[in-house]
Amino acid sequence: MVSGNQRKGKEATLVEDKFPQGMRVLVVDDNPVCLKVLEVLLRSCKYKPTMVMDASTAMKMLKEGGEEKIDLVITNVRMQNMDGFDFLEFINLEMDLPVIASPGGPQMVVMAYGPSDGPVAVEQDGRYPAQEQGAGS
Amino acid sequence: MDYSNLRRQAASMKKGLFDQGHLDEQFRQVEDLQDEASPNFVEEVAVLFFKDSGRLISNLEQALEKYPRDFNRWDAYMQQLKGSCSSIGASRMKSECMSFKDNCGKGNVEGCMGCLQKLKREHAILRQKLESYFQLLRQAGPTGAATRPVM
Repeated sequence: MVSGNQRKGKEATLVEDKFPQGMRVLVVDDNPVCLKVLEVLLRSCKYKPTMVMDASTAMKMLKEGGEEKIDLVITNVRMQNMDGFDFLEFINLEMDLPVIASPGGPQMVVMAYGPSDGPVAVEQDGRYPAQEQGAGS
Repeated sequence: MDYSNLRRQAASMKKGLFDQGHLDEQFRQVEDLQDEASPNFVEEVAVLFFKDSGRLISNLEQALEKYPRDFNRWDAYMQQLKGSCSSIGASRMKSECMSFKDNCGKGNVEGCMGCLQKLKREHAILRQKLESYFQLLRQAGPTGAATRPVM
């Protein structure tokens, strides 16, 4: 589903190389409705989603060997119990994983953070790229 | 039993929901995810949504009383609800969520209260209409649910 349209340098290469079938995705969102829809959406893309409802559990999981078992993290950054940006920072500093940060809700434009040069915008429905924006929204 | 007639009725009901602005495109996206692997997906999401949103609305009402003028808190609760509404395509409810958040930004307590009342009304209306819709789909037969009705 994240099939590139026009390409923009190495971020596009990152996307096309790293989002194959069977990709293992960790999704963090405290909203059960969003989580359910996202889970089925990701499965329909032939990915392997793991759904987690809070960032503390996700952090613990990643620290305890989970990092080896995950290819991509998608996280809501506006959650109630833990600041999503703290979680994002944890991943960027301590994990070698690409992260997609979303302000929540499936129609929001998401920002893709890869091990490359900072955020690239991705449309939630998988069209890539959308438009480049500053962080947060 | 005339299944094709029932399916037509269901399609017409669904069209009404879109035309009246209760549902938006996201609902169709959710429908598109329904398949043999998840044959009741739409209804499951709807059930989950109404349970979750009912809880969130109730929490919000309590918060309005317990934490007067705590607009940050109110806004945070509403953010959750807005996310749920977005996920299922509950368009009118989502608008009220956004108005509520707007009123929080302006520090307008009465505005917030008004939005919450409207939100509760839209919630009840949508629940009733979707329940009727799913019931009709069920009566229309198993294929009525698994395939998208021709509109």
